Amino acid sequence: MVRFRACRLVASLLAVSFVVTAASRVLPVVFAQALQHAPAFDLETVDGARLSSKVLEGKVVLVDFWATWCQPCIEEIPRWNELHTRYQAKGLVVLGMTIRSGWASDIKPDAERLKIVYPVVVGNDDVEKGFGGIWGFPTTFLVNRKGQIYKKYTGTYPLKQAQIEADIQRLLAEKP
Amino acid sequence: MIFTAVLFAASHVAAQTTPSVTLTDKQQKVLDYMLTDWNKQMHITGVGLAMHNVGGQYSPDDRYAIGVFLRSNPRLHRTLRTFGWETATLTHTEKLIARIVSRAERQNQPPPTREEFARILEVSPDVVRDALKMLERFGIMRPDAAIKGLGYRIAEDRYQDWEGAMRITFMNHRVQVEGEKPFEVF
Repeated sequence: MVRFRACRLVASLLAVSFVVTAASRVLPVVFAQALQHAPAFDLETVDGARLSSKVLEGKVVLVDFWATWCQPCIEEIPRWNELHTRYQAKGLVVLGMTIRSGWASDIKPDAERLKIVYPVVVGNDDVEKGFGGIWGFPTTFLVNRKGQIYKKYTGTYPLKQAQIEADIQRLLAEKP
Repeated sequence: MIFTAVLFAASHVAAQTTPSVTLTDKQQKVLDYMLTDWNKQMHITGVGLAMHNVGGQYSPDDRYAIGVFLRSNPRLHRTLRTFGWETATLTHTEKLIARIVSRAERQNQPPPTREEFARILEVSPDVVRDALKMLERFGIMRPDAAIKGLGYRIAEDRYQDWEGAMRITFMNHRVQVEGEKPFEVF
């Protein structure tokens, strides 16, 4: 009887471990463990102006870490344009954080060619580190109105956009 | 007056574009080869392979000179601004050594010894020694007798986080298409 219970316990643990492992493979979303503050920054925009994180205070911010040579990143851009257009007035800022793509003057023609309608800045190692590190492109973050990193979405996968939109709606509904 | 202003402007432009180091004719051939290569989609052929493809006698000193030139002239090509001069200049062995040492330092772990590096990377101890020397010349690593078995540490803080986004600083892969010279891509 004791042996039977032990076997059942081991089987249950194995099953849980399998489900967790499988889920982590299927759902490449990494939840922020404790809501960490997004880093402060003052970065050059592709137009040669500056964009300070101070102007984002009280907003919900979608930060898209992308590179101009990253095809999956490029394929997401029309969707970020849509979200920017749809929710801008409600307090959403979409921010293209360009990494490993050269100088602002290198990135600007790509931003124009890709018809990006939201602000695009030149990211750096400090910002990347401040967001907890980037291990692949694209990596998208949602920052809540309190300036905390609400969620990190690594890579691109089915339903990512829908999930992000639902999260945006939830965060926009929160009081500043 | 106008002439003086024009002269001043011309000298100012010249000062901005004049590289801080100069290349010999044969080193320039390698640079020209690379610039042509980098204009092809995804190509990022490095100095070592470019010297091989150009042909002729090239030494580590040539690679060093070209590397310093690339480091001093990021305006030369977007590839340098995107992936860094290190990606185009260092050999795979040098990149791997620097990468492993920087990771070890970041994790407060002792780095592998020279013998361990030789075994891990499947190269001779001489290759490890030369790689360390070249990393020292480029100012990426510096000798430190306190690091037992290796004698080197990362020279600058910025190289401790060198792996960066997707560890891209070190990434280039050699491609061989039948009938063509090999090239490298990111």
